[in-house]
Order: sequence, then structure tokens, then C-alpha cells
Amino acid sequence: MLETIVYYLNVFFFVYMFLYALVFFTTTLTASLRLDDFFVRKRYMSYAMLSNDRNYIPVSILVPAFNEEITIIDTVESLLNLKYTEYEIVVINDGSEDNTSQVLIDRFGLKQVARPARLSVPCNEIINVYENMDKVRITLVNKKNGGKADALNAGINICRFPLFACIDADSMLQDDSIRIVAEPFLENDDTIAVGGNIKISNDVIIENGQVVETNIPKKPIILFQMIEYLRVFLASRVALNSINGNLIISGAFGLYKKAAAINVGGYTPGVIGEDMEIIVKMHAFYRKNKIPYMIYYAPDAICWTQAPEKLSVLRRQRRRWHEGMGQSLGSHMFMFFNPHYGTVGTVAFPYFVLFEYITPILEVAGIVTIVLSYFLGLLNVQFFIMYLLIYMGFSMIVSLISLLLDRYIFPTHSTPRLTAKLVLFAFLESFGYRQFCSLCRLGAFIGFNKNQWGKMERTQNRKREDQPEES
Amino acid sequence: MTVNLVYIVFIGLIAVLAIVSIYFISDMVARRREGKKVDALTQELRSVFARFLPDEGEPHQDPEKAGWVIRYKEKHPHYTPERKQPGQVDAFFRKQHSGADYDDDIRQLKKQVMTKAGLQAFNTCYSEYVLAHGYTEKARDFAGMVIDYRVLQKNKVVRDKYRTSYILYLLAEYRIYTPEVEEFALRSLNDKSLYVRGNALRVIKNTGDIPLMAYAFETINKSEHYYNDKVLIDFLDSFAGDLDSLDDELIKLFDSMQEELRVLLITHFTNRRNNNPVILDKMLECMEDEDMEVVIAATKYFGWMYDKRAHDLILQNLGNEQWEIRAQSARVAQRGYGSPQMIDRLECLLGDGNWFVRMNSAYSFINMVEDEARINAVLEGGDRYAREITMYVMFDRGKMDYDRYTQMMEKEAERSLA
Repeated sequence: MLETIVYYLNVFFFVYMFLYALVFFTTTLTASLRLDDFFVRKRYMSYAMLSNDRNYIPVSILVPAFNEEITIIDTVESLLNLKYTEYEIVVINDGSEDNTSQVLIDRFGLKQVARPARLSVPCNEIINVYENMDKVRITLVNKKNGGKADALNAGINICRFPLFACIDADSMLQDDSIRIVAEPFLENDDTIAVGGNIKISNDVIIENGQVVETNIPKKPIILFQMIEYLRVFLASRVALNSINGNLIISGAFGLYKKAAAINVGGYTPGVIGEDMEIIVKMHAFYRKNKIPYMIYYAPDAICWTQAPEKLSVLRRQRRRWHEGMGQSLGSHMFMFFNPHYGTVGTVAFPYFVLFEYITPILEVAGIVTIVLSYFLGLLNVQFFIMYLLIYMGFSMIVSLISLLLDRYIFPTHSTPRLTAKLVLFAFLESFGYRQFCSLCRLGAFIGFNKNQWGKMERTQNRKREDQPEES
Repeated sequence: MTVNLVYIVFIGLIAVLAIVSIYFISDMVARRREGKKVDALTQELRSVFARFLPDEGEPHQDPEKAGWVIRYKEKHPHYTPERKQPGQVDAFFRKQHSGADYDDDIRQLKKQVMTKAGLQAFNTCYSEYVLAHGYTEKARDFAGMVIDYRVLQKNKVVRDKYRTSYILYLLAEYRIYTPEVEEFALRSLNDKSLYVRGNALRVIKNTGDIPLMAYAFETINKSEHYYNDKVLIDFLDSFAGDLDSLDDELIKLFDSMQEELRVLLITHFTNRRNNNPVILDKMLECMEDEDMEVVIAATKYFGWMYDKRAHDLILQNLGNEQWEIRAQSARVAQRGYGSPQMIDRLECLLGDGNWFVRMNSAYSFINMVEDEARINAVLEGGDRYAREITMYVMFDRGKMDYDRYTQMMEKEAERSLA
């Protein structure tokens, strides 16, 4: 009996791995073709869409912050360097226990105002609002703690412009990023959200919104994450974008039509993955009501963000992300293989459920089955090793293509030495790192985390003087 | 059998991905080589540019363009654009050219721009010149002498999908306007590609040709393709010719336009603060239009362009059933339209059912009323909404400090609880 079960499990995993490989082959190939086309367009038509910058749509940049006193000044200062004519910065201090509010008030000379907020979407009580009257208006909203989604809702209620961007308090935007994500709104009236490309800033020196130096990270954990980010942002997101099926715009950087966010009731308070939740809600709402819409991904709109440098922080982050994904998918299971929801229901949603969400369970179950099969004498070791090697080779090629695409599109973002090191780590990541990440993500199935703000150890972004002498 | 099939499929997938990788690597190598070639050609071309367009120190003024506008004004309305004949341009540059090898240079340039790298190099030098000197008539004539529409059509500088758009972009940058180019640009306004349409607009606005702009606007009016409002505003705002004359022409087309384009034209006139009497009269008509957006746009216009004839219309619109019109009218009321009737009406609107109407009315009311007793009467009156919005606006306008404002709000809260 046990032998029969194990046999069929083996067959199942064999087929699943094959399908998994096919899916990644398709996404990688689609992304490559799309990015090649995108690159040509960018190269020959990379001029601004409008002659007069004043004609761009004004944007409110929302920065939700919780205990961000170390990085918040850098973040706001970097936002002041954006090449965009009309925008405001709204920092939402979600009941921080540190001096986030005071450092902002002191640094930017903010004054308390009695600005009324129209409660278009639900949020916890706003305690007070501070503002300055500079050309780029900075607004600080102090509110009772309610989580990141709640903070973003407060930002939506208080911001003035028809488009709002949300960025993480530890992120820095490249100076042209807002212009790039705003252009799809000019190109198509149906655009409701545009996501940017997130890159790791731990060993990059950014000055006035421009990368001035790229150093090779010393910590393997950073290199592994760099490869992962490239795979996600230059392969799967690009491929899903081609069918208007992106179910996530990273919370680190995205631009949204305010009216569309209000249509879906804003961010869902209490959820962990608020960034995915709002996009899934938008797909569900617009598809259900048959309203034409477009959710777009702009690979050249860069946002630099800090990645965890410790395994414990990485573990918590991955677990949170997976929990968030589970919540968003779980609350919209009615879209799963539902043709009424078009490509989202039939392709994107099943892709996320079958090849993103349940993968960690299957990976761990697969390992257990292999061990069992070995002891039951059901494992053809030669076949197993061969299959595994081919599969790993395939995964490595997928990673290498992502690296190549990055070099192809952003030749200045990496050096040949960094690329060589990333190639080596693309090979090494199959030996431990991937399994570690699967285990972290598996934790999401054990119990939901109540903390709505990820605990991330903050360090100040690197500046020229921090640079190690040898690099 | 199945296992072997899976192996074969896997190997096939890996092979396809390997081919993709090889494509990207070879393209990067080719690009690097091409980049070097373009750099070398650019270096050569810089000296040729210097011979034809010597650096004259100060940014070059554009007397021809001013002359062009004058000529247009003289000949209006039966205007036909005057273009320099190739012979005139040639003679001009022959005179300017310091070297004896003028014919060789021109021949060489024409040959170079036929190639992909040559065109890129020419484009780089031209952009450098424009960056340093601005768009000059000389640069335009020079580009027109070397490059023509047919040369660009034949050049395979970019893949077919983007060629039309890129050609239009270059034509716009080089300011090459022949009847053939103008026809091409107008035709492209109905192209299905957004980028082609966008660059066609760029060509047309850079011509500085008013009848062409007007014709383009009529084409857009009839077109079923999407044109973003901001793009069209930009199209009008950055017109390279005389904007006043363009507005004169556009106002003639106003009545034949769809609502969206009428709103857009009003926005354009507002942005330009154009108070030409014909436009003013038309805007007064718009204040009574059936379309709400047109009325709102016209009201905004009178917020910037004071005209006493607008007073009664604003007062009338303060009683409009659409809250958007009431709110906009209340907002512009403070821009010089103060009168006892206006103040009375605004005071009534402090208790309007819509928050935006109340807020805009309060701003105008506080701005117009000098009698503190009248404001205090509102603050102590029986309408809670009127009291709250007046307090907020007084605080925002600096007529009440934060402590007093919060005190009053607390009192207001106690009052509502009681």
C-alpha cells in the first residue's frame, strides 16, 4: 500500500517538476522577447512623451513609515531630487515608537495644520498633520497605529493629486522613475496601476537619484537575493504583464489611479500583503464589472531598496510575503480557473496558486518522498540524479537569462565582475539557498503572523564616504 | 519511453533558452561594436558640423522665424507657408563654408546618413548642436539639405514596428517640412500606434504652420483614436509658431469641436491667459453651455481673465443644480467678482449640502468680507456646517491661530454632543 502511494507520489512530482519547468520556460521566453522589444523601443524612443514637463499628471507620493527614524530623512531627501514637475510627498507615520515624526519636523521645518481629510477609504484616527509650504510640499500625517495598509489608506484620504505612488520608507527612487511610471497613464486612459522594478541597494551608492557606484556585495545572502529579484522582475512580471495578469505590484514602488483604489475600497486593513491584495482586488472588481482596465509593469522605472542581510530577517520577510500571498489568493479563490475573469482567472491566478503558493509544500513533500522512495527501494538513483541535474541546469539557465537581460537593459547597473559573481551564485543557489527559502515560506502555512509591519533592521543607505577602500 | 521523451523535451527547452542567451550576448557584442563605429563617425562629423555651423558664441537668434511670423500675419488668411528653395539653402551654406571641399562634404554626409551608424552619428552631432545653440534656422536648413524624408524611409535604423514612429520623431527633431512630410504626419494622426500618433503631433507642432495645426486639430476631432488630454494640451502649448495667431484660428473652429476638445481648448486659452476679445466673448457663451465640463472650464478661465460681464453669470451659476458648477463658481468669485449680491449668495452657500461648495464659498467669503461682525455672525450662527468650514478657512488663511481653532473645534464638538 505504502509502496503504491509512494510510487504515485513519485509520478506526481515527476510531472509537476516537468510542468513547473515548462511554465518557467514559457515565462522566460515571453519575457525575453518582450524585453528585447521594450529595449528597442526604449533605445529609439526614449524621449519624453511631452515637450513641457508641466503637462505631466501631478502625483502624490505616499511613504508609510513605522519606526523609520534612521532612513526616513534620506528617503524624503531622495524624493526631493526627482525629475518631475508637480508632486507632493506624504509621509504617514503609523504610530511609530521612535522619533520618526520629530526628525521630519525638525529637518524640513514642518508646521502643524488643520487639514481636513475626506475619508474615502477606511483608516484609523489621524492625530495631526504637519506641512511645509515649499515647492514640493511635504506632509506628515501622524496617526494611530493600524498597519501598513491602514497607513496607506490614510495617505489616500489626505493626498491631493489624482495619482498616488507608494514607496517603502527604506527605498530610493531613481530620478526619472515617477515620470516613467506616469507615462502609461498618458498612453492609455484605462491604466489604473503601474509597478516599477525593484533593485537591491545594499552595495550601490546613489546620489541625487542616480547610481554613481556599484560595488560587489560581500555577503552571499545579498547576491542570492539579487538573482531572485532579477528573476522575478525581469522574467515573471514581464511575462504576466503581456497578458495584463500581474497580480502584484511591489509595495516598494507603484503608481495608482486614486479613483481606482477608492473604487475597490482602498487597501484592506489587517492584511499582511497589502500590495498584492489591492491589485488582486482591482483585477476582480474591474473584470467582474466588465470595466476596461490596464495594470502595467514598467521594467525601467527603478526603485532601490534594502534587502535583509541576516538570515533571521530574511526568514521573517519571506514568511510574511508568503502569508500575504496566501491571504490575497485565499480571499479571491472565486477567480481560480474562472473564465469570467479572463486571463487573470484562467492563467495568472492558477499560476500563482500552483507554481508560487503551494510550491514550498510540494518541495518539502518531494524531499520526504525521495527519502521514503530510497528506503523502500523505489528510487532509481541513476534516473533521479540525471533528472535532478537536468532540472538544476534548467533553473540555472533561467537565472542566467535574467542576469543577461539585466545587463542588456541596464548596462550601467552592474560591472563585469559583479555579473561574473552573480553567474557563480546562480549556480550555487540550488545548493541550500532555495531550500532555505522554501522552508521559510513553509512557515507561512503554520500560522499567520499578527504583526502588520515587517521587522527589518534598518541601516542608512550607503554614501561615498562609507565606501570600503578596496572596492 | 516517457522518461526519454521528458529528457528530450528538457534538453530542447534548455537549447531554446541557450539560443535566447546567445542572441542577447551577440546583440550586446554587436551593439558595442556599433557603438564604437558610431563614436568614430561622430568624431568625424563634429568637424564637418563645425565647418557648416561654426560656433558663433552666443546662442543663435532666429530672425528667420520672426520674419516668418510677420509674413504669416501679412498674408493671413490666405496663407501658404513659404519654404526656402534648396538652391537658396545651398547658396547660403556655400558662402558660410570655409573649406574648398564643400561639395565633397555634402556628398559624404548624404552617403553617411544612408547607413544606420551614419544616421546615429549625425543625430548625435545635431543634438549636441541644438543643446548648445537651441533650434536655429541654420541648423534646420542644414539638416534639410543632408537628410530628406525618403532617406529616412529607406534607413533600417530601427525594426519595422517602430520605424514610422522613429522617422516622424527625426523629422520633428530636424524640422524637415515638405508637403510630403506634412501629408505623412497628417495621415499618421489616424495610425493605430500611439507612438506614431504622438510623433505626428510633434512634427506638426514643430512646423509652426497654423493652417496645418488647425487641420490636424480637425482631424483629431473626427478621429476615433485615443488622444490623451495632457498630450493635446502639450501639442498646443508647445507650438513652434505664433501662439496668438494659432488661438485666433482655433477659436474659429471652437463650435465645430466635440465637448472634450472644447474643454481642452478652453484649458489651453486659460493656460495662455489669452484675453483676446473674440475668445472672451466665446467664453461668456460657454458659461451657459449645456455641457457641465464646458461651463466649469469657462468658469476657471474667468478666474484668471477678469471680465465684469462674467459677474452675473458666476452669480447665476452659484445656484446651479450641479454641485461641481457651484463649487467652481464659488472658487472664482473671489477673483475680482465681489459685490453685495455675490457675498450674500456665498454666505448662503456656506451651508450647502456639498463640502467642496462650502469650502470654496468660505474661501471667497472670507476673502471678500471685511466686516468682522458679519464673519462672527456666521461663527456664532445656527448652521453647524457653515460654522465649521468658516473656522477651518480662517485658520488656513492665517486669520485664526491653531490654539484658537482647536479650542473652537472642541467647543463645537461639545455643542454637538449636547
